[in-house]
Formats: sequence, C-alpha cells, structure tokens
Amino acid sequence: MNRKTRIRLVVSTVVVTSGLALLVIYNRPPPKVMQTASTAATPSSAADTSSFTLENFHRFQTREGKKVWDLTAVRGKYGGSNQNMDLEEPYLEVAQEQGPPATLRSKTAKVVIDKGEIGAAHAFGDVVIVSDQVTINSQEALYDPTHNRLEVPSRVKVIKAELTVESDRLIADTKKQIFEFYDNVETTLLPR
Amino acid sequence: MTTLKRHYCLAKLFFSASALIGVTVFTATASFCAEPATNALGNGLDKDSPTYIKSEKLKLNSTTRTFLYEGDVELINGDMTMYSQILEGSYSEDQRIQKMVAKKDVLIIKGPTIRATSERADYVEASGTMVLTENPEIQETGSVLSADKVIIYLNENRSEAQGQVRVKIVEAGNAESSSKSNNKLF
Repeated sequence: MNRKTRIRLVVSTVVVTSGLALLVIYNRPPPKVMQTASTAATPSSAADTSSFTLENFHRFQTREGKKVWDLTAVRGKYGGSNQNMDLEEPYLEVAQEQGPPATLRSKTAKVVIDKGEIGAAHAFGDVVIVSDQVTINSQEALYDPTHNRLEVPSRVKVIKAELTVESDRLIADTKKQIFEFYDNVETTLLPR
Repeated sequence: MTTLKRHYCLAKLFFSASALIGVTVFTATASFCAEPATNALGNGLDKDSPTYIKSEKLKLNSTTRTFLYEGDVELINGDMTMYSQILEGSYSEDQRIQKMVAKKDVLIIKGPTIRATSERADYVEASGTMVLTENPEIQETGSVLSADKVIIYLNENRSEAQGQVRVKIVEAGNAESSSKSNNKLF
C-alpha cells in the first residue's frame, strides 16, 4: 500500500465516522423525555401494509430520569397512525405520585399513545388493576391514566384488605380514590 | 312532663290486668326487657361476623373514608338485618364502621324479638346503639311501640323508647286494636 492509498483510506474513514456521528447526534431524543420501543418487527400481512406486528413489545417513557410509564406485551400490533396498538398479554405500569406504580394486566388491550402519554388503555379478558393496595378484577376496563379515570362496564370486584365490593359497573377517580359502583352492588366486610 | 320508667315485664302485668286491647299512650321512657346478650363482643356491630351490604349504588371515597349507599340498601351483620333507601357513614383506617346513618324506609330486624321501623337510624359505635328517630316504631310479638326516639342496644338485645311513648297491642295474626281480650299478647 503506497502513501496515496493510505491517505485516501484515512480520509474515507474520517468522513464515514463523522457522518455516522452526525447521524447519531441528529437522531438523539430530547434530553428530558425519552421514549423507547424495543421490538422485532414483522409485517402483519401482505394486504395490511399500514400496520406491523412486534414480538416482545416494550415501550416506556421517562421524564427527568424517572419512568412515567412502562408497557410490555407478548405481541403488539401497531395501527396505521402508529399511535394505536393492539396488544396481547399487556402489562402496564404507571408511576404514581406516591407509592408503587399502578399496574394493569389483561389478555388483550387496545392502547392509544398520544404525544408520549398513554391516552387510553381498553383492556379485555381477566383484567387485573392494582393501585394503592386496591385490586380490581373484571373482564373489561377502560383506563385513562392521564385523567386518572377508570371505567369498568362489566361485573367488577374491588378488593382492599378485608373489604370487597362487587357491582355491574364502576367509575373511579384513581387519583382521588373515589369509586362509584352501580347496579347490584354487594359489599362484604370481613372481620379482622 | 312526668317521666316514667317501666320495665316491659311490668307493662305485661299492667296490660294483663286491664285486659285492654287497644292503644295506650303515656309519656315515658320504656325499656323492653329481653334475653341476656348471648355474646359479649364489645360495642356496636358484631365484629366477629362479616357485614354484608347490598344496594343499587355506592359511592366510596377512600381518601375521606366515607361511603354512601343508595337504593334498596340491605345490611346484614350477625343477627341484625337493616333495610333503608340510603345508608351513609364513615369508617376507620382499619376498615371498621365508625358512623352510619340510615335514611328513608328504615327497617331493623334484630334476632327473633326486635323489629323496628323509622325514617332515620343513627348507629353510634361508642354506645353500641342504633338510635331511631322520625316516626320510630318497634314491634315485638304483636305489640307496637312508637315514641319520639327508640334506642336499640345491639349487644344487649334490648331496646328503649323515649319521649311520648304509645303502645298498640295487636291481636295475634289479626288486625290491630282488636276488642278480643282472650287473645291479649302481654
């Protein structure tokens, strides 16, 4: 290798490295808010080119170094807008001001992410929500963590220590911890 | 106003002697005697038994620890069943009912002996009592006692009427104010 070739090689390496560095810098997320999706993507079908399926779905958001929410699923299918997701066996954690995060688990869920926030999670099948020592079981639930609103349109069971409440419908403010049960309400308060 | 305190057993003798079937009115504090308490569980509701409450609607505030049941409310605790249209109150940190007020169409059935109705019933945990006001009436095997206030002692299986007390004696299995004297119930 003569001197000219070596110089060309060095210059090419520098140019490629700089280019890659610039690419990384321009594609960096904003410093305070971070969203991540770690997935293996495959087209969902030949006919449906606007959506794709992700195995081992994982997406989360942090703000000022703290995790705001964390969403995992066995499988996730993005809709055309890239905001709507159909998830299989989802598990959602939403940070609370105090205490451990609120969690939601179900067989399936439709989740909307709007501007980095979980807009709504419509969960179906063996839904279990845990928030501040309260466990909520149902077959369907509509959870809007942004507005701290939970709506359960089907038979629901709420358990907190020795207290169990069941009803046909529930609307709750998860922040203020106000629960409104409707129709066929049954409360059981067990002795300690 | 004369204040009298009559024991139910004394009232039994009085009414037997008078052989009067009808309505007796007297201003008094009347205590209904009863069997001794079968279990000494402390004040208030039976804490060793679960409490079941059914209704059409419930608003539960976990922050203020208050509850409001509405629509055909039914509460069962031990040998007491209470019906009302509204039941509101508060509970302690360890989830014990501290305060409870039943309103509208209140009916309390306690064991085989006490059956009381009113438009309002206040549960007072400290004294273990249910205080009935707003047209309270208490029935016991055919007799009906109404007063300004009726107090049911939940752990002592007895009740007390205060204020203007009226006693109606009703023929067994028949209409009240019967004129038959051989069916008197006291």
